[in-house]
Amino acid sequence: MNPYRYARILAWTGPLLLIGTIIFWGVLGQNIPPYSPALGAEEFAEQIREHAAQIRIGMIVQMPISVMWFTWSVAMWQVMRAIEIENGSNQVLSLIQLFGGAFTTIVFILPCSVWLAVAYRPEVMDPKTLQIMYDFGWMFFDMAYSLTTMQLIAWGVCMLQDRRAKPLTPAWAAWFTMFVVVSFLLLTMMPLVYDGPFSRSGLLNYFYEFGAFFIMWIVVAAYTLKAITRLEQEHWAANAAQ
Amino acid sequence: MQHSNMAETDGAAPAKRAPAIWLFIALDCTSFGVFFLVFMVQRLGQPVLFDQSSQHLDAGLGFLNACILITSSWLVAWANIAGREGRIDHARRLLLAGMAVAACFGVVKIYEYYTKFVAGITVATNEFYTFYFALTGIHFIHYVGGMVILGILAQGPSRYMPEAMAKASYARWLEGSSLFWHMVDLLWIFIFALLYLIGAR
Repeated sequence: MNPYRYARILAWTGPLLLIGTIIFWGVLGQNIPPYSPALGAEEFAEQIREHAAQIRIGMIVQMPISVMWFTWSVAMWQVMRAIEIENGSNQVLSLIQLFGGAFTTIVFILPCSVWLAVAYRPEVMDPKTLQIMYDFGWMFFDMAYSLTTMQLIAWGVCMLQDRRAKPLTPAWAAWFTMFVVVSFLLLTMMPLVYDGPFSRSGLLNYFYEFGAFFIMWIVVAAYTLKAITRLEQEHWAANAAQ
Repeated sequence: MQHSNMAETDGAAPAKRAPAIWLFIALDCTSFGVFFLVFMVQRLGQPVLFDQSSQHLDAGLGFLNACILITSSWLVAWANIAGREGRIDHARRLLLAGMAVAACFGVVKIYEYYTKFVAGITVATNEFYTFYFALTGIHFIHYVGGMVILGILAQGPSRYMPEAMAKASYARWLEGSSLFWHMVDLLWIFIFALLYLIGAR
């Protein structure tokens, strides 16, 4: 049996989720950029009431599709296992990556449910209640970064241990990915400020961090797909030789 | 140049290590470059506030910390040379000396933070101080990470690997770590100039 059966479909769920996230979480969910924490409660509530319908649609779709972060992580896990088995079958890194992927899925789903609740009946809710719920969603979404950092550092370290003459993932992509997830440390400043570049909608903690994250997502997705193609080719070549 | 002699004894992967740490350093420096750029742009919007806030920083302590890190970097560079030449014990002593000097940086920095908190200055005081705590804080994380790596290297080559492999791996890590340590030093010089000196007079 082909050990990489299903792998390609799983690997495609990464780029699919990326597109879905841009449309449903980003555009419809009013998250490009999110509402500034500097807005007064009344002004914020007005914005939510005005866009409640589209935010609801965005979150209703984003919640179920977020599971694709996990299915994509399983594709990454398959590539990592291939490298680990060749290197003596230590499976620590792939295990960390897989758990990190599963936990990161919750980081997608839980805040979306909170923002969905904010957009559920904003016309009868107290503006301050809406604001604290929205803040809670963002605190969880931004500050649970260590789960994703753990996942992708494990992935990067594993990719660097590939002994092929031409590795499945080039060293630059592994280092770039690890760098991006470590730079999430900057989010530490987010709960401390209400305005400026370090706020959740600011130049550094939104545009820079999320820009880097989305580029990293494309890089990891592209090399996971390429790696699966190569692993399948290696598998069939080895079987044909027998 | 003889620096890559030891690294080449260990198969295919080691040859890729030196460029990889350079890539990490390039990314890190680019990232700090972005922070510095954003700082300067924000500064243009409120130069008086930034100048007044900058005057409350102790440029003397900032300069002292620059001297401390340069001295530590110099010792670590010597450790790297010693490690490359196979004088492992000498390299370990130099690393410990470099760490001892660098420990003063941590003491000075914590004292500086303490004086700010006592004076009621926090990250939320104004935008200058948000940058002050963010930039020096991220730098401090780099410093702590560097100290941990130097501390591990000061233990000497791994006792669990075959000797030749352990020595080759040690030389690679020593080279990569000393490059990282020079970057920590270099970044502090930029942070010192941007936060402590511009607008201080």
